[in-house]
Amino acid sequence: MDIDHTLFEGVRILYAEDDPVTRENITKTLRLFCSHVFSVEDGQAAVEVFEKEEPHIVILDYVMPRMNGLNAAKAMRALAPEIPIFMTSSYTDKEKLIGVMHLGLVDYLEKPLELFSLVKTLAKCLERLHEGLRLRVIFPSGVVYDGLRKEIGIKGVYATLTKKETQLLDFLLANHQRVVTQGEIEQKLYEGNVEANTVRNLVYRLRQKCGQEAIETAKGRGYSICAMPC
Amino acid sequence: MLALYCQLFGVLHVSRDTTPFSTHPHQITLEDAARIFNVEEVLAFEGSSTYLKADVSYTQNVFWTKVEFKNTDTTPLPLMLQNLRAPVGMIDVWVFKDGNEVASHKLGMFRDSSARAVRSTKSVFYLSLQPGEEATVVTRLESLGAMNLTWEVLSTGQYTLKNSLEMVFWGLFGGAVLALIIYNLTMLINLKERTHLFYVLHASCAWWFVYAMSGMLHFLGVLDGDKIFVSTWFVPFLMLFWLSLFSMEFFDLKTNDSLSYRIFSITAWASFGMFVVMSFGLFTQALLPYAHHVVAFGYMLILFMLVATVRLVFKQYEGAWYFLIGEGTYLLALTFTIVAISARIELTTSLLFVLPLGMLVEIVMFSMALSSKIGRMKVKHRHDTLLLLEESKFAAVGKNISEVVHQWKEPISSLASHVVYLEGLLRFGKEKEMHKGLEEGLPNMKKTLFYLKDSLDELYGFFAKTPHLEPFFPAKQIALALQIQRSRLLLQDVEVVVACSEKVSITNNQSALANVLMILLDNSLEAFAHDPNRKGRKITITTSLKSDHWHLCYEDNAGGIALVPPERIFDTGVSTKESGMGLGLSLAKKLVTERMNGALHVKSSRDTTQFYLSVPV
Repeated sequence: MDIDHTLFEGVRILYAEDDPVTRENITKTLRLFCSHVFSVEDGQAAVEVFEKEEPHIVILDYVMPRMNGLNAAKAMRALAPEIPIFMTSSYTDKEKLIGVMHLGLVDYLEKPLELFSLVKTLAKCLERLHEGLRLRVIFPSGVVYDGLRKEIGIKGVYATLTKKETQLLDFLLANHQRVVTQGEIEQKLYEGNVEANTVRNLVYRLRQKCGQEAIETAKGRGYSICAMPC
Repeated sequence: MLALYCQLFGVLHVSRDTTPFSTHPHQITLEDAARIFNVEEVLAFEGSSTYLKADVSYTQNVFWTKVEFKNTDTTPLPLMLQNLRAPVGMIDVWVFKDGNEVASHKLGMFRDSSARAVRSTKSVFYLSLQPGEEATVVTRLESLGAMNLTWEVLSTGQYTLKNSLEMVFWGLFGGAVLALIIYNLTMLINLKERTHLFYVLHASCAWWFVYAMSGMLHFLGVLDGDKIFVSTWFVPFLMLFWLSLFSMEFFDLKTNDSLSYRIFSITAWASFGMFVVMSFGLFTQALLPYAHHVVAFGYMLILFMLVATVRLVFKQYEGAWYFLIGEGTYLLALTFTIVAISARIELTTSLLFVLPLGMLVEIVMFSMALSSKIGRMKVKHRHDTLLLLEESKFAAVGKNISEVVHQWKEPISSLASHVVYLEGLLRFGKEKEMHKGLEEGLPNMKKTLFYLKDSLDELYGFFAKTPHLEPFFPAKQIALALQIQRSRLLLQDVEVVVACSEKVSITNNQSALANVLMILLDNSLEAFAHDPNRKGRKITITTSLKSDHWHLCYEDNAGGIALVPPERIFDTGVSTKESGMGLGLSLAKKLVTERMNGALHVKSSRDTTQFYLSVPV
């Protein structure tokens, strides 16, 4: 199997499975090509880690104690509507999963798991991340941003982003389909404790690095990002 | 025989060889519409008859007859004179010898039968003639219905034989009807189906009608003669009323055939109406002169019902043929009788048995229809039971298989995860780590494989039928049952609390306990699934060993049993689940009582249900 190791570089995967042997083996397998794998033993732990680590991809087993995969997926969807989630389950639980189509799961994998389909499904998740502007994007100015490495540059010349700038850019990209209000940004980046011009200054600095057209101002409402996956 | 008669000078010559015979051709019959004649005038009458037939249809007129006998034998001749029809109102007889009245008889149904010289179902009197002696018999007949105006003359021996045979016939008829009534009464008690009730009522009416018409009721003296006479007017309508209800109920016309239902409703209402109107005859004589008009109406009703039955035959209702034959025979018999009574053909003794026989055929046919229906129901019931049994067997097999699947899900997936990891090492070129991976994984893989094998053995033991008693650890069986249902319990977020000593061993039927536990768990899980919003789901299993019994209390908080008393949950076919077949808990009860010699009880409150199991150790 040919797999580009760099493909999953920087990708964080959250894996929840209650059976210790399966959990250990699959985690080890994931670590063969992805360095950031968080594994947990039930749905509740999965939601806690999800909030803390903000993973890119989530794999949930359907049958788990404390909170099952379905409820965990619902909780995560509430926090991050576009996060790629897929479930693993037995054939006998297949019917129950038909009812959760609305959760927009990437796929569901039948247990026992198989390497090829596991990798294929992960690749599908990457594709969805890519389309959702969470991996490499290009701004109208030609500047490219790598969401995994947090690097910005043009034609191999890299610029550096401050922590707040990265946070703002990621936040705008995560919500690229809508206008993000100034209030939301203040809340997300500074937890509301901020002086009047801080956000405007931050946007100004970011525009210097990404290009003017990258961030559009919706008058009186807020900002929206303009980028394409590349 | 006619050659032996001599009607010279109007005197009928009689000897031992001439009986039996009818007085009809030899008597003088006078119609007395104005009621002006008296017995002396009739005795002295020398003209010819004003009415020539032997029978007269419905009339209110008085009829007189005169017939003269002479004994041509050399020995005394004892004779019995009998009127063919029992339901004739009043027959007055005067016997004259040498112009002197030697005897008179007050006969007819309106008269008390117990005061007569010869007590019989019909109007009968005794006449004795010495050798060469002559006698004149003058008769006055008056009734509210049809009449026979002649005397059937028999020797005493002939009369006794004929009367006895008739009695035997009525006895057989009455016995047959009574047997059918009793049979259907027992059916009514057993099956509690209204069809049998209507049948019994119909047959009772038929019996009454025949016994009234034949004079049996009058003979037995159960009621005043005039009441019995009147009952022959309204009982047939009551009979038709029950027959209509019987037909409706038998074919379940209300749900099956609305047109037929309407037809039989009409006949039911019409016959009930006529019954009510005609029963006023018990209280007033004013109605009776018009009563015979309703015969035509009753006849039309039966015809109407017959047509409706033909329709049911064409629609291929089961049992409709029996109805058609029964009603057809009855209608035919009735037609014959009406024709005879209305004096269109001459009445003979055998004609009198046509109607009872027709009626007997009718009620036999209806009874056959009923028993064939019961037979079909039995077959259907057996078929249904078999089907249910097959379904439950199939469900049980399916359940066992799904339990094996549940049991094996986790070990197989963990075994597969080893394969995934080892394949990953190989594919991603981590040959160096391969050795370490195998070293770490193999013991676990082996362990899992043996676990699969062991669990298979255990499952075999769990579901294998072991009718014999053997020592075992109930705690192990509880753990195994919970393990099998583990994923369902997890999915439904059910907390399970078990308080059971692992050291306790009991000697009983191990597989029966396993099955009972599975049924109880399955029952709780289905109830929980039915109520998705319930929080704090819990199953508590507590066991204790007291003297020679082992007790288990199984409690869930999946809502109580909505049955009063809750013990009804153990009845076969009783289920509070929409999809339930009501087999599980009844099977559990059976297993506990029959295989484990124990007891299973249930208590239920608004939220919780407790099952108490107690078995000998």
